[in-house]
Amino acid sequence: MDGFSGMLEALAPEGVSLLLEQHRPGLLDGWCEKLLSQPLPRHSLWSEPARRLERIGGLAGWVPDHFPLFFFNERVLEETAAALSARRGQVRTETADRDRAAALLAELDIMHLGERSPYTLSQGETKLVWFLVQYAKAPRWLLLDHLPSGLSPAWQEKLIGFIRNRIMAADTPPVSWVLGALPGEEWYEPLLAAGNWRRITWESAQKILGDPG
Amino acid sequence: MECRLDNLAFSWKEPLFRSLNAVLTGGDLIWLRGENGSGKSTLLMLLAGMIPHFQRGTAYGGDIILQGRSLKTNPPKTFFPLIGYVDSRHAGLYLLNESLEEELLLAASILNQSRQEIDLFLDETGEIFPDMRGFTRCRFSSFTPSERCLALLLLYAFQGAELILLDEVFKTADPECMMVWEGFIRWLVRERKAALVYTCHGLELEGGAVWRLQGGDLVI
Repeated sequence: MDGFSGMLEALAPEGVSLLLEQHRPGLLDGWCEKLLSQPLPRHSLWSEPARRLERIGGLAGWVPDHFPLFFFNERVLEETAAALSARRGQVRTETADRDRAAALLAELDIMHLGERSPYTLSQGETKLVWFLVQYAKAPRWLLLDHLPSGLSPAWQEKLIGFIRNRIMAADTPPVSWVLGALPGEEWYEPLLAAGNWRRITWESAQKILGDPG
Repeated sequence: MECRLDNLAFSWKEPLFRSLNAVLTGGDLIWLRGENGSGKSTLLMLLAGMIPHFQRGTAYGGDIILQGRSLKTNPPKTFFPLIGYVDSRHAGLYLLNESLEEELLLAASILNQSRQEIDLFLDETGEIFPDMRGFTRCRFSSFTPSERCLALLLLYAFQGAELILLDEVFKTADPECMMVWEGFIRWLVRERKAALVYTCHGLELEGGAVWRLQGGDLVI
């Protein structure tokens, strides 16, 4: 187990999700950005830091708020299906992947985006699709900083409902959700009621996570 | 300042706006609302001239007339420094220096203004944001995305922008930063008579009006 998974395992072991209470939004995103961008400018793609990054990519999904996101497929449905095939270590998608992708899009109520190019989506739609693609990779941890931002109240409710259902369904392999939030916000209460959560301040978490920069 | 939407129609691949008509004048504070995907950001990009000069859809009908000139046929640089456009996704890209102080000095040199005019601006805005001078000296690399957006807004304010477009810039602002945002917005609208259009889910600023995008139409 390398440093990254060790840190997150200490905070959110299997079956436990994590609510990080931040005194200001964006701290979790800032930490992830530093961690993930750090190796790239200075090292080749075959270097140990880059390989470490690849291992992190297989373990964690991240839904950032402010960074340009990259998609590899021309349609949202295919992008989601590709994430499902990637979790099996395959590049080529199969019919079963596309069927499962369609089911996931329907579950989040974004089936109408399935045939769209990811690059023609609005900010909020991009966030929903990126979230679903990250979830489809079946990461051990899924990190979201301030989930409601950029979404209308109706879509916030749908996304929270989706996560709640996934927690109740006890996904296999299990996902630990890692959410950044301001203390006292209401949106996360339905999620906390649905599963096994650990609540911790950002300052306490940072003692374990450290400063990747 | 007057900005007029004249039968504005636009399509990316699918039609997004059918025929939008509206007028913005100095001192207007507009909350642009709509579901995700209704075209809020696209409308701001049209008002900023980003569309059609940097990005194109498949159809652009009608026009936007700013101070008597077409935004469709005149590129955004020809309107400088009239338009201020802050988009949370790309805020950092518009900042050329390492701190706001350096940005202000660059802007002053472009606009043939002196250091004293920067000081005057900082004194004036210091009433809204007491730590304004400290903020201008901080490095952008230490800023949160919302603070980067705020720095860009201040730069536009200094340059004298009169049509200010804010796309989802408050979405991760903490309460303290939000107070500064609100203070500046009110100051720009009241004192500078700027027209300001912002998008943000669930934030209605007192004293403003609502424009709602719904099914390809603009409901005012």
